[in-house]
Amino acid sequence: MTAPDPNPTDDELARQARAGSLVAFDELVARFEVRLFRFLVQGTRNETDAAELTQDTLVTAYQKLAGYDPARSFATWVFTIARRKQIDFFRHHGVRRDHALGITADDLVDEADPGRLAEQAEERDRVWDCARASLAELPFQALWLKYNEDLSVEQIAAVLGRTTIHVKVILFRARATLATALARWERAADSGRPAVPAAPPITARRMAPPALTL
Amino acid sequence: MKTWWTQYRRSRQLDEAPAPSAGREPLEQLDARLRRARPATPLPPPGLHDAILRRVRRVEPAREVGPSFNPWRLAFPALAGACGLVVLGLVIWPSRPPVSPVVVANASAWSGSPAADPLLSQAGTATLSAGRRAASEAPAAVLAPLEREMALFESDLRQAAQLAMASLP
Repeated sequence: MTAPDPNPTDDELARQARAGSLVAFDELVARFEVRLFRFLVQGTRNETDAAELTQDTLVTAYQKLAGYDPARSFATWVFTIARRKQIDFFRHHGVRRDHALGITADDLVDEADPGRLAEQAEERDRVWDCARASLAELPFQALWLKYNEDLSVEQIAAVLGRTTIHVKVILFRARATLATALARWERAADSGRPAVPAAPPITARRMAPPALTL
Repeated sequence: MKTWWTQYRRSRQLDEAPAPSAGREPLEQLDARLRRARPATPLPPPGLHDAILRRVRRVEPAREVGPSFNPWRLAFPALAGACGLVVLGLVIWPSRPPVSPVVVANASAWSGSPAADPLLSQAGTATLSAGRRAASEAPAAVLAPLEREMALFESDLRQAAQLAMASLP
């Protein structure tokens, strides 16, 4: 008899949960709730909706565990469910709510030293806020899954329901667009204008249903 | 076009593996910044974990079940098979050659091989050829009275059959 793995992988936990272990699923929830919430809140722009979608995603995952293929990555599977839930949410609500996230420095998931906090806050504002303002939903999600979830191109393709070639093209266009937008914003900052607009002007366009390309 | 293609190739390389250090290329610099930067996201509400587990305990997961017989699974194959048989029948039936009455008569009367009874075979052949010859050579005036004989013969046969049926217990 072998001792249980003290630090099982997500896929191993998913296999145990599939076999009926609620403890294993509890651990999966603990590992994925923050990741899913952070992914979903970028699209919904509303914490309550994102929390609700996170809850729906994980409950649906539990209900459909019998259909989970252990050969696949659990992260890919659960992010695919989350994305579909988000699409259904947008279809149902029609228009995304334009609520400010109200993020403060205390909200950052950061255990880094305080001296780095200011530099990091500036960095995040420049890159990810710029990405959120300048990219459409699909390129933004591809970029998010690539850099924040560390998914491979194949996994991103599975989550987004696209081919790997398409995802590579999406990532390339997203990087090119973001590099241009970032350079423009930095030039504006050098000339004394605010680097990051308080209300990103493109956000309003992205929130209109016709422009929502998921 | 060349620049676009070069940048696309560089982007594909970044998809596979990050740049070892932030290079001078804009895409490499951006890649390094995206990896380094922390996105501004709030934390989920504190009660989310418990809320998820409460809902999970209430719902019943769909258990894995073994393969079971479902009659509805046979509906489509059965329908397809039936359609195939109908189409096959429609193709084969009109192309069948018509069965000659002589062949049917021979098949029903046949009880042995010609080699076993050569005399019978010869007699039958001779009778058939004589009948064919007589039918082709005899004039209509000769054959006309035979019609009455044929009608009488048919009547006798019918009466014999009725008698046989009536005598059955």
